[in-house]
Amino acid sequence: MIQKKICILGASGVGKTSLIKQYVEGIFSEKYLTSIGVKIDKKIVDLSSEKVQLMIWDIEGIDRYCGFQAKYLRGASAFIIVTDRTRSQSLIEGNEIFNMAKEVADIPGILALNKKDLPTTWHWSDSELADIKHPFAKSFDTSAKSGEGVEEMFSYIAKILTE
Amino acid sequence: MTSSKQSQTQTSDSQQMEKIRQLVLGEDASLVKQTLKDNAREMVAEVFSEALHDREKNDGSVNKVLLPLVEKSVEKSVSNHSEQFVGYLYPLVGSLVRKSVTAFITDLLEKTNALIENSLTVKGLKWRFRAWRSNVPFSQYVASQTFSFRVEQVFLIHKETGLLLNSVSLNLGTAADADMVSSMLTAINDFVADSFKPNADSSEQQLDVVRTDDFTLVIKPGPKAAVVAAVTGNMPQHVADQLQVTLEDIHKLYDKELNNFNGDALTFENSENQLRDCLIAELKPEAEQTSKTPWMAWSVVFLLLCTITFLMAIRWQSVALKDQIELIDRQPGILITSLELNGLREINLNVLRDPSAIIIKDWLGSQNISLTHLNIKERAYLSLDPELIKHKVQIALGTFPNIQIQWQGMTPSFSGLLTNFDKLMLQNKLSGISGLNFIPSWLDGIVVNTDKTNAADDPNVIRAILDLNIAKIEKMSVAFEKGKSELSVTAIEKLISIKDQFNNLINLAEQQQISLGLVIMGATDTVGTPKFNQILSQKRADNVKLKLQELGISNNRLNAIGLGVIDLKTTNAGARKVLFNVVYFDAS
Repeated sequence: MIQKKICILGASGVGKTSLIKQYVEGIFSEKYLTSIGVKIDKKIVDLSSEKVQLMIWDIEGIDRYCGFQAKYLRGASAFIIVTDRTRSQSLIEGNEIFNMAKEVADIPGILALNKKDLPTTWHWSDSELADIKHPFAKSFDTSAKSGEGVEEMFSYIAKILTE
Repeated sequence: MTSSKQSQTQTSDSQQMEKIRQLVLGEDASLVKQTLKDNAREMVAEVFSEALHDREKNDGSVNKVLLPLVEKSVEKSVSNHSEQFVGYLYPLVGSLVRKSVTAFITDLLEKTNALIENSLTVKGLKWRFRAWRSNVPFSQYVASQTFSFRVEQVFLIHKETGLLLNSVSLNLGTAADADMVSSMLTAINDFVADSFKPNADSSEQQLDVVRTDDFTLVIKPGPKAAVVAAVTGNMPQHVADQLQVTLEDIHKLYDKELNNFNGDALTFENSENQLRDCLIAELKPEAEQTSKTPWMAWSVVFLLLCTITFLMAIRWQSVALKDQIELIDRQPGILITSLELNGLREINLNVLRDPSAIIIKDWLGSQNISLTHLNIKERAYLSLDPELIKHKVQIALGTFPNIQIQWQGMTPSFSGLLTNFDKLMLQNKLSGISGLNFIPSWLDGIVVNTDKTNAADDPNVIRAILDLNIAKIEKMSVAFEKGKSELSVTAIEKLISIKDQFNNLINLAEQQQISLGLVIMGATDTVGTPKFNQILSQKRADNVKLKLQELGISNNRLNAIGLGVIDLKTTNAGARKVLFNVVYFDAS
């Protein structure tokens, strides 16, 4: 079985951990996130041709006070940047994180526009949004509450990583 | 012009080259080919092994090609020379079987020993308690107590991605989350590298050893992969050395695979052999000593053998005792109905015993048989054993010391001197012995002593005895079923007794010149018509008469009368019976 390392990044409080919680196997407590800044989970995606084991590095929320741990991206095959549809700022921060990540690793980045279950309160126009989405390999509207978009996102990642 | 000249020169050059080539190499390089062919054997032989090795390494095709060929040739060889193969294999198979049996027994003994030691000994119980107190599985506690150190698990981790390439462990159960553990370990290592200043040579800080209460985590980082071992106990330096050697081996062997790693850990499947070299353990000195000779298991085996021998000895004794007791069956008047072993040493003996026969406990005592484990159940019966009858006669003669007896088969003849009364008494006793079938003529050899005046010979006394015996007969009756006249088994037994007593009376009476007769009176209850009852009572009396005749009482002395209904209000059962009355007349 092919294994791949992927990282989940995003500003603090966008719901990174909640987003994947129900969809992965994990043995480590969330307290690792605050102590060493990362927690590892596992997700096996069953593609029609083969199975792919994704080792998911859930990295602590990044903000202006907390530096970006570039080392955790080492050896990753892809990264997901999670943003919060109810906070405009999270998208800007997501974009910054994307640029930082791209500097250290030339790997596909996926955008997760989270909290789809809540009404959108940001005021990005469609063209602005399209501009932000542009550098990403793909974007998904997700909801940690209903689970919408999560499975599709992991399947997509598994697929592009095995092609 | 110049150019055309040039082209001409070129053409002739190439033609000349071709010619030279033909001269040197021959037509179609035949000279070279011939030379190669001539030396082909040596040339191929020189590189044959290496070429096979290289090709196999490249694409593994050599094995695929050779396998079916080898299989076929082995198959052919075995079928053609099976005798020879049997010859080759025979000594091998024998020693293999012996070896595997020995290994099995040794293993079993050692396991039993460990089990006993861990469960039954004070040390084992103490360990169990301590394991329970510290909330660790017992096996883990035993390992920690038995081994100086033990490498429990070894991971091979890809340096760049932190993905698990392979892992081996002593215990399958603990290997389940190895992939997540190895990623986490890489993350922690990254965390350490990020959190602390780089080394003086500007290389990153690396975790080397992580120690916890239960185990030590030894990390050997290499340029492309790391080997991590989880060790319990006090780890000596040579474990780290072994990890280093393994790490170097793996880098050497899997250099290309490590460089091109794309997430497929399957290519590192064979690294298990190298990693297994790291699963080393060392027993504590005292544990080593005990494991050399499994004396615990041996002592259990010895005890077991002793117990079996002891039990067999007891059983054997009981069986011998049973055989000895069986001989009691040969004693006259004793009949064994069942004799069986109950459990290990108890013996149940059920016997029928004639009251005149030897007392069973006396017999057992005379044979020196202990009664401790013997349960005797005795029931009385009447034996017709000739020996016992003779014995009974002997007892009857006990009170007549003047009488001698001689046996001819089962026929005795008595002789001696007796008074008339004593003779009658003897006659009475003898006729009472069942199975003897007393005949009065046996007493013909006895001389009656008439000289002695004896109160017992007084005719009045004899008459009184006669009356007493008559009263005995008259007291007897034979009962019948409702409306039936057939004789029951009990009735016949009674009639036999009546016959004996009556015949004895005849002899006694004849001596007193008295003639005896027996009146048989049939009766019925009140059910039915008087006519029917009359007939039924007569029938009953007739049947009894017929039976007594059969038994040997002369017809002249018997008279059967049907009385009809005896209507007595005092009896509920009615009078479905035959009654007797002895009548006598003076013969004169």
